[in-house]
Amino acid sequence: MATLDRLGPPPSLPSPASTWGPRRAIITALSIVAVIALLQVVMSSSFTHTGAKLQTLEAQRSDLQAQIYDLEAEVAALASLERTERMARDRLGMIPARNQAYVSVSVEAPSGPLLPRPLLDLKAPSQSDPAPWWRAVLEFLPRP
Amino acid sequence: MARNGSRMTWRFVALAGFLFVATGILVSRLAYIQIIQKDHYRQAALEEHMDKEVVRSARGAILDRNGFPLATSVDVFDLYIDRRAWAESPLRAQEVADGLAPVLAQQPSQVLARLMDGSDGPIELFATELDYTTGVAIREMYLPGVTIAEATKRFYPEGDVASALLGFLGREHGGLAGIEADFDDILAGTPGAIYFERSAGGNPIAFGESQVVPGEPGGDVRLTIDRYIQRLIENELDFQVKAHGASGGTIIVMDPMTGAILGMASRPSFKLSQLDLDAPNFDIYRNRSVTDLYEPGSVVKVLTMATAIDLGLVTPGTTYYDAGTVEKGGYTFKNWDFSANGVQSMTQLLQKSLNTGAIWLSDLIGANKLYESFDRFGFGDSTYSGLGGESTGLVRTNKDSNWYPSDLATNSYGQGIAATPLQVITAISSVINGGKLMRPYIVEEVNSPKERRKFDPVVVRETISEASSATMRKMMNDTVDGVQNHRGQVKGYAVGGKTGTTLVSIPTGYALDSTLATFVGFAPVDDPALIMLVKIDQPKDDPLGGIVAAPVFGKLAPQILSYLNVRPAAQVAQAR
Repeated sequence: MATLDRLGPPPSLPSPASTWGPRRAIITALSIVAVIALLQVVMSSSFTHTGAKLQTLEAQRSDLQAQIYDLEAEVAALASLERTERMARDRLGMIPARNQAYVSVSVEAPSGPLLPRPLLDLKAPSQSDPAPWWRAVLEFLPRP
Repeated sequence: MARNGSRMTWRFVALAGFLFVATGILVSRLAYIQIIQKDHYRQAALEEHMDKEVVRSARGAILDRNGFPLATSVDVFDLYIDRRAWAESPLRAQEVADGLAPVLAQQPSQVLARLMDGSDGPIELFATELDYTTGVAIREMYLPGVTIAEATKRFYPEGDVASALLGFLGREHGGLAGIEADFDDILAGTPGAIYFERSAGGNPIAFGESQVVPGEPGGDVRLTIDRYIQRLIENELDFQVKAHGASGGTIIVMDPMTGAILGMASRPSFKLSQLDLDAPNFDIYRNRSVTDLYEPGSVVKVLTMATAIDLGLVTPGTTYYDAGTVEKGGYTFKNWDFSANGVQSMTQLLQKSLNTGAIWLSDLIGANKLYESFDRFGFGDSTYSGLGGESTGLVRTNKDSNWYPSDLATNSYGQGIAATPLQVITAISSVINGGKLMRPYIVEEVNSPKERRKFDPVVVRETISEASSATMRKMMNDTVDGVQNHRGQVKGYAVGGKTGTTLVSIPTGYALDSTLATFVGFAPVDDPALIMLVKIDQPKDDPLGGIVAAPVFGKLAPQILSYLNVRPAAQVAQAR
């Protein structure tokens, strides 16, 4: 007589039919490929755009630097001794002094050189103004 | 029985074997190229695809002691044309001519004629050194066959001032003379580069790979020269050379306490605004203050006297008898004015510039000590000022085989020795500044992106004691202010100095009708703020240093002293 084997595994149920058909797999694969390709195009385009922008900015920088040199040269020419003398003679009608007289005065001499400041003397950056109150508050906030 | 169709014939095996081996060889070769030799081929590809364009860095400026630029650089454009752009379409040439004419300030027909003139080939440098605004305007017209190349141009805000000192640049923008050459490594900076992908034709690929390596701009060189003093002495030198019909001249102004050169001018010289590198006469490009030797003449009596004072052999009041002539080594030596003055003090010796007195002193000092002294004062050696082309001078001593006893006599009053103007003023400076031989220097500071270097005064050695120096200052003061109507006197200031008049040496001896008129003066006597050497070469109207050169000092010194804020003597200034 056949006995029920209670300890044996239950008879396996037939598995349900798979939902991933070939069509869906192909569409998914094509979509992934399209996204990757689009990403490539976008990145390449962005890179090229950034490169073009960089070139434009560098050209602008060269232009501005050239303008700076031009202006420095113009300032130097305007401050030249020859021009100063020409202005003194032609515009102000001055002539070289014939006699020189020395007069003592009871006034302290000005400190430092009497000449104009050097044209190309870049002064050290002065002490910056103290930070505004709200900047100190911001520093206490957690940074992202 | 059925035939066995899977039996492999030997031909099939041989073919399979051959294909297998061939594939193996190809795969091995690919592996070798792409894996083992990958670096080599990658480099070769890079070299093939990439090109490099050198980008010149901005050249540094040359500044005067107060920071005013004497030489600076501006960006300019060079204009190139390629005639092939309109070879088949003359209307395009007209378009280019119409575009370029207004910006080049020429007639369109003129421009067109040059555009169509192909005698210099299809590509021509059409215009150079166009200012930046003009170049940008042309660039933005996008004219066919027109290319703009960036360049730089040296600009001199003070005009031709200090031409010989500054020097000039060559066509490759490198220094060829003067400070431009001596400090070229500082001024030029380090060029940068642009690496870019290029096509087979060598043209850059738009939006291709590129990398910019920035260069380093050149550093600035700040001189000890003061532009006001330099302009003053140059204008005066030009005037004096013309007024006296001289062949040239030199004026040097120095701070005797530090050796800083405040002004240095020499003629003949060149003008930066009229530079012609094809000119046959290259003599005009040298800085005669340091390159040209001359016999200093009676100015050297100061050194002979200083030596005797320092050795304790004489004092200002010591006397000797001036008979008017001296016999030495078979030669007869006379005073410059053929005078015989009797008993003379040392101060009078200098005041009257007595050759017999100088010879008397040289006998007292002795040859060994006198030449040691000249050596201590720097004669016969470079001053190491850093200026290019500097001569060392020539002193024949008693140790040389071609020296004669009469040389001691002539050398004592400055003939028979050769020195540069810079050596002479440096030596006299040491007599009046406390006895210190200072190294003359012309560069105060160098300021580059890498470093900022300041040059301090250098004491080379002691020449005489401070006490001797004070004595000499007084004696030289007596030589000028103590002589009635001396033309080197300056109202309001106590000055000292010494004149010198030397015959011009020629291969056969001396030209009796040609002199070098010199004067070395300093002021104020108690605390010298300036020392000046004036040398006028071969004046036609009067040969004497006291007549030709001393008045130049008398004219320039008060202007420079005022400019330097040196207070005049108290009794001259009037209280309000």
